[in-house]
Amino acid sequence: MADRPALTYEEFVALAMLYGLDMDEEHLRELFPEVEAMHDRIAALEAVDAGEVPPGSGLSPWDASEPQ
Amino acid sequence: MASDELTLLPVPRLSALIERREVSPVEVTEAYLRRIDETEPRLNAFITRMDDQALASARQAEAEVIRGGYRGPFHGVPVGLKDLFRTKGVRTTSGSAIDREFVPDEDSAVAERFAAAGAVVVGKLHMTEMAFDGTSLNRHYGPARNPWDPERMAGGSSSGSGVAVAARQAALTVGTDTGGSVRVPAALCGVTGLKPTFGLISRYGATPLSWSMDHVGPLSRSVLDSALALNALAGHDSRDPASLRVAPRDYTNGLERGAEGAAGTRVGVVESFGWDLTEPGVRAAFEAAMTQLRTLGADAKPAATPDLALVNAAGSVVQTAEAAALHRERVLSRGREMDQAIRRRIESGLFIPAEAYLHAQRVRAMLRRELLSTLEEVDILASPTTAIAAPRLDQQRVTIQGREVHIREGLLRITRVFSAVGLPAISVPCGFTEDVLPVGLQLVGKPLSEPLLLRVAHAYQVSTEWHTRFPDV
Repeated sequence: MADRPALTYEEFVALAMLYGLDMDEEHLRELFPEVEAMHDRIAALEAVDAGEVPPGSGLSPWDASEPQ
Repeated sequence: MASDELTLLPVPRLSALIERREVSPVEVTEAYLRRIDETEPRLNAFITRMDDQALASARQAEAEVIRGGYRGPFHGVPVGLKDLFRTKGVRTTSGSAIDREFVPDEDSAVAERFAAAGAVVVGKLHMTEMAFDGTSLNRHYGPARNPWDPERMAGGSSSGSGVAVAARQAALTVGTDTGGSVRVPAALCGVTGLKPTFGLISRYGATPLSWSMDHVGPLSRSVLDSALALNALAGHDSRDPASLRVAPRDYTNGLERGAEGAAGTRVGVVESFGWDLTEPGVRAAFEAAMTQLRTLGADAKPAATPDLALVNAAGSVVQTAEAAALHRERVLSRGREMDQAIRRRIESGLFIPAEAYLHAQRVRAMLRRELLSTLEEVDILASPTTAIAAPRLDQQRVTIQGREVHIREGLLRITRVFSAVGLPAISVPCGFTEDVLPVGLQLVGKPLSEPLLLRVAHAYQVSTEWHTRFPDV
């Protein structure tokens, strides 16, 4: 799987504007590390092969096959 | 019976007195309201008190009992609700300043079910804003303080729910748990907290944080009280898409075995996830609890689990993406009115690509299957509920065995795993640290294994005295 490139601060600011966030400089400076941390988690998960799980399943903790 | 004695009674004893008309629901409610008067200035467990409504409910319950219309164990018993459960005609803030004046025009499913059981709701309980924090801090309503040490956190997000039970401000409370928000305050306040199987209790009318991880559960003085609450609250509700169709059952069945209820149970000790990040006092209490379970005839031994850090990562991505989807408008249009840390936490979810969310869901499903495989080898899993005891209110980081982490990590890292996979989990008091701060023992079972989970937790509880201790507040 291709590695997810790290998000630069400039890219983050561009996305923040696109998403309609408050563009206050201090707010963005404090938000950026949170977004970086989230991207680190996403990157860690991308290293996991979840191919055995059919697409479309796993949207809740329940598997349809389990007795309810 | 003296007022103070009434607030010491567990639910079954209190309800027996009410059923036999030896005590009136009005008398009981007045005793609890006095207790709230005495303790609330030091604890801040309530966002909204409901004294008038509570007394009206109590008078109605009294009249019904006198007429021979006793409804069951919660009839006339004072309870509290986390302030995200909608209550008709009573404001529901979700811990947010934005919703300070929000008055719902209908009840949540939990409020409905308690009303049907004849319970007396004494108030809406403190919580962290939008239930997105494991501390008990709230910049709008002040911090909820731990009854064992008011300079320390009570845990969150169902902060007031833990405080009110520990401080005898309510006989039982209800909270929600997305990453540990029932079990963490239960552990830090020294009470019992149950997160049932995902979908067992309806979430209808509860402010959502993450639709695939939100659970509803009781906080109580004992496992028996939790079982009674589950009897009252569990059941299918077509208004909650995740609500399970499970036949009604009596969750107190099996508890009559008392301390013998743990015999023969295979207990898997979760060892792969962080003794290096667990406070020594917490670890010592947990290990003593394992010794006690062995004494009761349980077979407690280390269990191999999948990579629980990955479960946590998947849960974090899913929870944050769903929170952003649910609360996007709030953070974009009124973000400056929010706690800024919680605002940022939600906003970070806007940066999660759809494919990353869906991949996290698949990883989560895969790891859940692996955990269920582990639960074929053992009947239940055991761990400390939190890695640390209650932090100081001003504390942001904690050093554990030479490693510094944010307190959120110390509070939530163990519970969050079992919210992400929807398994039933219970936290019971299992000791104290040297600073006289409570420690919680977490037991986790297979889906819908609440009867076993409650039986083993009850066996542990009746053979120990931790749950019978009250803070001097």
